[in-house]
Amino acid sequence: MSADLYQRLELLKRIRGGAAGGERAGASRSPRGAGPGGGQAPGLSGFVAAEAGVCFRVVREPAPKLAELLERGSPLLPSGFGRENLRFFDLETTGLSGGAGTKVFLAGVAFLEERELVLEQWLLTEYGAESAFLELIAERFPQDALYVSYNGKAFDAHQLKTRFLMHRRQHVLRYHLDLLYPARRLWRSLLPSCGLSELERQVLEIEREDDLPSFEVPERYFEFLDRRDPALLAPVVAHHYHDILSLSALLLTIHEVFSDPLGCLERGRPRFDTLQAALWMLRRSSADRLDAAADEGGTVALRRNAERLLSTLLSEGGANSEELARAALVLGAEWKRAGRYSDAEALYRSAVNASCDPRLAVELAKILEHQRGAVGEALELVESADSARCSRALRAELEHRGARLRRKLARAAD
Amino acid sequence: MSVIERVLTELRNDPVFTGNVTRWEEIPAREGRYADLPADLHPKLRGALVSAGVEQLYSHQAESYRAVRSGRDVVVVTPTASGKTLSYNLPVLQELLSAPEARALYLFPTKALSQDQQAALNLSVESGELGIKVATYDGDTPDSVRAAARDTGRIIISNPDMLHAGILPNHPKWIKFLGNLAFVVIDEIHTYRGVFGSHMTNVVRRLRRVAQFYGADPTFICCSATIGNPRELAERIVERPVELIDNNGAPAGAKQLILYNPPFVDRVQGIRRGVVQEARSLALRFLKAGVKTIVFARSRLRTELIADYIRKSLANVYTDDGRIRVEAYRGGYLPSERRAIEAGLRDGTVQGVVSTNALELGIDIGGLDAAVMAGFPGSISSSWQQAGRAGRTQNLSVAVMVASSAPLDQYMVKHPEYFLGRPPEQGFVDPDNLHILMSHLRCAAFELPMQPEEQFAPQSEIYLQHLEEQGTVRFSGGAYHWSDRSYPAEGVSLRSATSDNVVIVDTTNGEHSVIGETDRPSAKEVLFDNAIYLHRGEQYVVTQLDLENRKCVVERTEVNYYTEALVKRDIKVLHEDESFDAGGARLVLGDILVRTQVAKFKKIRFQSHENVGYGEVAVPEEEMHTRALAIVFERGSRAGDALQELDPAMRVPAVVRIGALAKNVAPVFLLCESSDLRAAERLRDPHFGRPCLYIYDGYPGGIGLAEAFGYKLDTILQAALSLVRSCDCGEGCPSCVGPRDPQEEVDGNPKEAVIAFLSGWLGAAATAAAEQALQ
Repeated sequence: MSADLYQRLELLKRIRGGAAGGERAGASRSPRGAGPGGGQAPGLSGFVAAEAGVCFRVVREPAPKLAELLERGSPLLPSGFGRENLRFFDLETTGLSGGAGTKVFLAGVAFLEERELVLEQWLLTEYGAESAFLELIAERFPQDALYVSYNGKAFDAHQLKTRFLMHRRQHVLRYHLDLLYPARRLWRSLLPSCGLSELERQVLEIEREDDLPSFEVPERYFEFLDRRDPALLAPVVAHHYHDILSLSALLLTIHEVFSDPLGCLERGRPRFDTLQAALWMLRRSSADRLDAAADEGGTVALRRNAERLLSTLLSEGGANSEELARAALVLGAEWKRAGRYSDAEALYRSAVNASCDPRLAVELAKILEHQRGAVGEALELVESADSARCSRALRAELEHRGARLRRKLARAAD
Repeated sequence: MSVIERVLTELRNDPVFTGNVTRWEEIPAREGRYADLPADLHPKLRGALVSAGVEQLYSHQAESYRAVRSGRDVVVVTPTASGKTLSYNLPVLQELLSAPEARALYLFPTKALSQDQQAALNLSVESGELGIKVATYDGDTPDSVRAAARDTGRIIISNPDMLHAGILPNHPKWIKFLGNLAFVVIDEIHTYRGVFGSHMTNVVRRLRRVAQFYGADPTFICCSATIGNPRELAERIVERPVELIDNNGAPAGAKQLILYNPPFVDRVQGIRRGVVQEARSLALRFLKAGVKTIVFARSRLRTELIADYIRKSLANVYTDDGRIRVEAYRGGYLPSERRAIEAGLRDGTVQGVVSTNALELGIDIGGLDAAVMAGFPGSISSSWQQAGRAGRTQNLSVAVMVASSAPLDQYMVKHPEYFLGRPPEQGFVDPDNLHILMSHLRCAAFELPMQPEEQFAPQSEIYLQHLEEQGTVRFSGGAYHWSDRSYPAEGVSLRSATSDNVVIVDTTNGEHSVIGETDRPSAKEVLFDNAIYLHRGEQYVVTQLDLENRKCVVERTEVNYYTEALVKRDIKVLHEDESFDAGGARLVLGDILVRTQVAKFKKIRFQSHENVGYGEVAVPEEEMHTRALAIVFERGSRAGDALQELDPAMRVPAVVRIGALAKNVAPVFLLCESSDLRAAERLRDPHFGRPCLYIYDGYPGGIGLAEAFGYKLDTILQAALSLVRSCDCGEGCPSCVGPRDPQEEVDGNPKEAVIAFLSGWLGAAATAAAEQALQ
């Protein structure tokens, strides 16, 4: 080593805070020459070696409710996917910021066999074996299955795709049922966060004991790589295992809300955001989104349930005036579309009293003008609408409508 | 006789004007040298060129085309307005038309430039219906169009920062682009000097590495403005042999270059007329005669002031201001405003513009006839660049440099032969600077596992082993793998300036509209509460500077003064790492905190520039934590004693000059830019209690320059001594210890004091060595 270089290395040691990750206690040099991690499983319970640097385990859990759900079908599941091509999936990675340097080291996938959930965990125990790891994983993650995950569509699937690309392979998980989106609808307004652990505690009523917080996962893995102590990884594996189990529990719960919302309301559990649930169900059942519940009966049931939810929300109170207005607007539009004008009129009338949202006044005025011919009353409503609460577009509409009604009145007077 | 000839004749015959001119130089016109359109040119491209009126190429364009087509990396050095863009667009488009998968990456140093570039390129691409998709990919690109840009853009226009932090770390998203990357265009390569350039070389290393992974080996086309060593610099950045193309074939009209020193107001005190008013009246003379004029000012405030004064002088309702429109142009304007001003200059609706150096670089603003530099721009190459903004292919043009009273300006106008004869500054880079290299090695390992035999940089495996000891990479399966949760590019900034900015919100009459922005550190200096903010001829008063929310609320106002902050800077030693005696002085290496504080502001009346009041400012200090070398002149040491031997009045000037000299000499040894280094002298330093000179890094956290300066102190000082001895100047000049500063009020010759001081400091042996170096 040249003197200059030696000097530079000395200097290197003095550069403080150089490593963003900080220095890890007990970090040691990686073993060399031993090949990628040796051939054995790292001594984690249930894991067996698949290849050098890759091991896995399979655990079966009874899942009668899930089996039943998949037999009966669910508004959550797109048509064309059944039990044979449904997969729950979750990954553990060496970082959360993504990019080419973030590696997948634990890949979990679960599927239903008979009335059991078969849960596989594939673990990479040395980076050098990543290629073999991906080779094995590719078989376990068919590209055309439907993947149920929590934020897997945006994050995990992308990470996996990146890893495959880095090994010059195209492997894309095409279809997703990412429960993050329905969960956000149902619970965002009720919970401080929509993290999976928050949902477990507050909605699924699952308590984990000694669970490893997600943010500690990468450090654990790095430490394991350095020290090869399986005890370090056991909590990671357990955490990951429970994450996947929670996915199936969450699927069941969301299904329960959407298929029997009134029952859930009655029982008071799980709690959920009634308005958001109804909106989702209406959208799901609308004609242009028929990919969902393909059968006519399912669609009708969804729509009926949504209407009932909205009626309950409007009649039982408890909603704030903003929610109330939104519910009335949505339900009124549904009824108008079905030709139930007098129901809609009654709905708008009661809502106009409870909320001062000018849009309600406009809707009521439309029915009065076009269905009842009550131009005078319609004009009164339009003129009394609180224009301070209007968007610019709505204000313009109010003015336009007011002018037209006045013309109509004047003509009638002639 | 053209209008410009008429004005110039008028000036020549004006004894008041010529009395202040220290040099009137005529640079003769240059004939164009042309070449036919290449025979192998794709018919579509030929068609596009011909329909745009291009029937022939300038010789350098043809040369560049030939070199690039035969696979050589090139650097094209030509002045402004010499058809530089065509010298890379032509070979690139040719290839993109014949190879349907090929891609090109265009890198520009700033965002404003890349947008302009896209406009220009779109124009040429669309006009010929070449069907080549061009996309800009930078921090302003909305998420919704990013994927499309990545997948379908044949030419991606971006900047080094985006490449470093956005593209390379996510390269699997860019497979299609990177795998087919045929060209990398690095425009304005002269801006990549010193620390910025050292980062750039490493970014290029990373780009090449990732491209290679996908099977691509792009050709590099670099372009540079005037610089002393373009080829060397390009080769340092691209790290391959580069062909230099500097035979400019574009014709140019004759240019008159005038060095102008404003007259004395008070000869006894040596006070001259201010550069703002002088630049204004010169610009007015040009504008009123119908000459399109650009004025370069050295600060944003001066830009606004000069523009405002010009407009006020032109104001005349009867003539509609003589139908002359003058705009200010600077960073901090909204992009849409800048685009509008650029367009106005191109289409002729704007006749005059007052700009900071923002318009010095390649933004296309059409032809101008006169350039007025309100003060020496700070470097020889900037001067030529700014002077080059005036001048079209045929006509006569004029450039006037108006000197301020600053010593450097005064030196330039009083020594025109120095100004005219001095070659442009050279650019140095040190890609293997330890701090910089380590940062990028981490990024590179993140991007792709690194094999030990890979030559990312000389001896890079040793550094990888160090990273392995730290635990950020891990050796496995024959390669070093990134093994850390962080995203390393996030923690590495290629530039010293922070990207934090403060938006300026106008709330006049209950409105709420963003009118501009500024970076956070200067917000404290120009947008403090009650400051007057000038923006395109409007005055605003700051009602609230909300640094936490990066917002500054202003209201329109009309007052007869503007404000100027009084900035104090001090240095606090945080930690002494080590202290050693070397080269006859005590050297202390450690961490310092450089604090910049605005505590007061002055109110200055427009036009007369009198001080009409003060105000208090309450903004938090701007702090920079960095690395410093303190040279402590202790009694009993050679350096300390040498200082003591000087006349007491000469001590501070001598130490200041050592700082200036060091900044002049060090870049050659440290391979940095002079501006990467800072120097500050303290005759009685509060920390050391002794006279002391701090040399510190101009980068938060330090970048290793202060350390390197310490290691090379002997060499640097010897070089400094031989430089100052060999310098032909009398009492100091910008090349050695800096020009004489009348405000110092010293009697003796400061240059001789420096020679005496340095000789005593270095001792007999070293002094002899320096002498030897001279012979």
